[in-house]
This record gives sequence, C-alpha cells and structure tokens, in this order.
Amino acid sequence: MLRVMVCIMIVLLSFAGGYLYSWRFTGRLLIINDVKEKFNSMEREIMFSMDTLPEICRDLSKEEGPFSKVFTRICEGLAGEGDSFAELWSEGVKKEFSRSSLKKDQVEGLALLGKGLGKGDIEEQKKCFARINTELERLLSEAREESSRLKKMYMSLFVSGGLAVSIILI
Amino acid sequence: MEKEDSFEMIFRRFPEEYRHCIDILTDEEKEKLEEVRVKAEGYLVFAGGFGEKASDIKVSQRGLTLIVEKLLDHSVYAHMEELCSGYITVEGGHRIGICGRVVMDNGSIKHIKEFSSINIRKGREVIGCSRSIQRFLLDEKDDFLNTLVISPPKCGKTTLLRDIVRTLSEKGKRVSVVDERSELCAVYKGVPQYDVGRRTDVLDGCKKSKGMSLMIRSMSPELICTDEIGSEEDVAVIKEAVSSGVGVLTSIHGMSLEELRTSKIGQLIEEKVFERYLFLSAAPKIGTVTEVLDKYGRRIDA
Repeated sequence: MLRVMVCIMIVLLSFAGGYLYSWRFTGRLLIINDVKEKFNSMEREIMFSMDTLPEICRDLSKEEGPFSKVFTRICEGLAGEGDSFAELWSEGVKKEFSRSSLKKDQVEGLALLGKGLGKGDIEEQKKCFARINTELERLLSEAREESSRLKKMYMSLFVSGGLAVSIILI
Repeated sequence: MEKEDSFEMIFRRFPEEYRHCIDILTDEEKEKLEEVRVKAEGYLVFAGGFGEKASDIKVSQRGLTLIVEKLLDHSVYAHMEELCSGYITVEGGHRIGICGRVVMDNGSIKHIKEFSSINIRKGREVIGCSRSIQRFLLDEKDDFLNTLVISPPKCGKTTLLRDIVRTLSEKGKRVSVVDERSELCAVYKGVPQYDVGRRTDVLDGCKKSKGMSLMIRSMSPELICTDEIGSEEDVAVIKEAVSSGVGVLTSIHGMSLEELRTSKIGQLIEEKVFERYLFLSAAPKIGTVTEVLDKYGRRIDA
C-alpha cells in the first residue's frame, strides 16, 4: 500500500515538475505579449497625442506587466544621465530580463527595439513602429511555436520519467 | 523659477561630460551671459557682456546630437514645427537655435537632422522698462492709443512691447497677444515664461493675420499686441482690429517715419491709424526711447 502511495506521489510530482518546467515557455509568451502591448500603446500616444517619450514612459511604468520596471528605469535615465532612449531601452531590457525565462537571443532582439524611437519626424516614427511590430511578430510566432512544441515534450518527458521510476519501484 | 536658474537648468539637461562646462564662468559672468554656442567637434563658447569664453571640453558630433535630443525631450517628432522654424523655446523663455542638414519637401523645410551647431540665447525681461513712456500710451479717458514701436534690430522692441503689455494688463486692460514667433511671451507647455500680466491672453505660434482676427472674435480684447508687422496682410488685419474698436500695439523694423511711409505699412501711417510712434535705440543702452511722436508725426516727449 505504501509503495503504491509513493508511486502516486512520484507521478504527481513529475507532473507538477513538468508543468513548472514548461511554464517558462508560457512566461516567454507573456513577456513578449506585454512588450507588444506597451509598444502599441506607445505608438497610439505618439501618433494621436504627440506626447513625448518621457511622458509616455512615465505612464507605461505605472501599468501592470513585466515591462513596467523597464519603463521606470528609462524614466530615471531620461531625467538623469546623458544616454539616448535607445541606449536606456537596451540597458533596461538586459538588466530586467537577462535572468528571466527569455532566451539570450530573445533578450538581444528585444533590446534592439528602441533604436530610432524619438529621433525622427512622425513618418520616421511610423517606420520605426512598423519595424518593431514585424520583429515582435517574429519573436511571438517563434515563441508560440516553441511553446506548443516544447511544452508537450517536457510534460511528456517528466510524466513518463515519473511513471518509469514508479514501475521500477513496484 | 528665476531666469538665471532656469538658464543654468538647461545645462543640467546636458550629457554628464558637458554638464559642468558653465562652471568656468564666474557669478558675475553668468549674470552677463547672453548666449552659448555649441558646434559639433568644437568647443562650447559663452558670450555676453564680458566678451567670449570657451570651455576646454570639445563637443563631439554624438555629444551635440545627445544635447539636442535631450533638449527636445528625446522626442523630435513632438517638436517638428518648432524645429523646422529653426529654434525651440525652453522653460524660462530661453531660445535655442538649431542648425543641421535640412530636408526640404515642396519648397518648405520638412526636417532638420544631423545637427551641426546650436545657439542657446538667454531670455531676458526687463520689468519696468516702459515706465517712462506709459503716460503717452493712454488718453484722458484712459483709452489705449494705437502704438507702433520703431527701431532697427537688437534695440529692445520686443522687451518694451512685453513690458507695455504687462503694465496695461495689470492696470485692468484685457490684452490679447498674437505671438507668431514665441518671442513676446515665450510660451512653454502652455505657460508664458515671461510676466505678461493677469489679463493677457496669448495665442502662440499663430500667423499674425489669422491670429488677430481670431482673438478679436473670441477673446473680446481691449487691445491686441503683436510683434514685427510688415506685410500687406498685417495692414488689413490691423485695419480690421481698429475698425472693431480694438487698440493695436505693435512694432516694426525701421529708422524713421519717412522710411515707413514708403513701406508696405505706409497706408497705416497716411491714414493715421497709429496715434503714437515710439523710436528706440541701442545707444546709450538697449531699449532707450529716443522719440515719441503723435499721429501727425509731431514730437511730444520733448
């Protein structure tokens, strides 16, 4: 009886382990979706209200989501040192997400998104946002594809591992 | 915020390596400072009543771009109209002229990029500079007499106009200012950076001819003020204002009434639209009123 109980525990734990391990893929999607939403909001504010980047970053820093801290850092940087928006964006993304569930190339990709923002006229800003949206769509589709493929694989691996250990124990 | 403080605040917005350049000036020199010139791959040059003084730090092209970006709040798109007119106004009423590579579109400036130099000019207001001529501007019923301020450039026309506006506004007159080049009131984020009086409404950045008509219709002013007239459109709108019973206070580049009679505004002088002419000179000091004439061109300040 005890052995059966232990086996059930092992299977349940392996299921939980698989779920937790595969959560990182969902986490990646959440982060990229959040940055996409923030950039959409930024684009709306620039195109329709002509708000300045410090004003927009201040508002975005107050919103929920994993990227709020990046905008807080940018606000502080814009008011203080002499860095450009692109440099502050890149620095903020690397500091906040280098130890997150994002892969290194995903962090690098996100860190480049601030390039050109605030530098030109409204037409150049439109081009900038078109580039950002294309890049985010690419990152999102990769993350989605990876998530659906690897999530199932890791869940199956963990559960089958747990089952294997249980069978050996029995 | 004091004007001196707000001027030094501009340097606080500079990148770290150039932020302390102004510290090479003594307090006395800071008071006499009139402008700061910054060139890409050149030194910061401070100029004013003390002569010229250059910083020992060279400003790189990237450094100048960062300075301009910081002064534009990292948002060039939000300042395009100002940028295309060649200058921006910052907090405190200071003006920053910007040079670089101009992008033209259908004969008009679309954009300025690859910044090459900037000129930061300190905004000045001289409270009380119109005190000596106030008595000539109102009639016995306390009604404003249409006034034209005449002088060559750099004699203090705008400063005098601003002080007249402030004084009349404080005396209870409803004044409207059409500030086409943001020089009279230096509006920054909706707030005039100079004291132009409690009863003064400001239309900033609007063409004089359009703005004056708009103000007459919308703000019911007792007098309307604008700087540097000279076109036929200006003549028409001044006539419209006067025929609506609104007083006109304005200025023009010139040396004498005879010279102006042959200019585009000659018609206004012939028809005696202006009841007072104030002549300014830069000698012995900027803003010196040399003559006050009545509508017939007779001197009344002797």
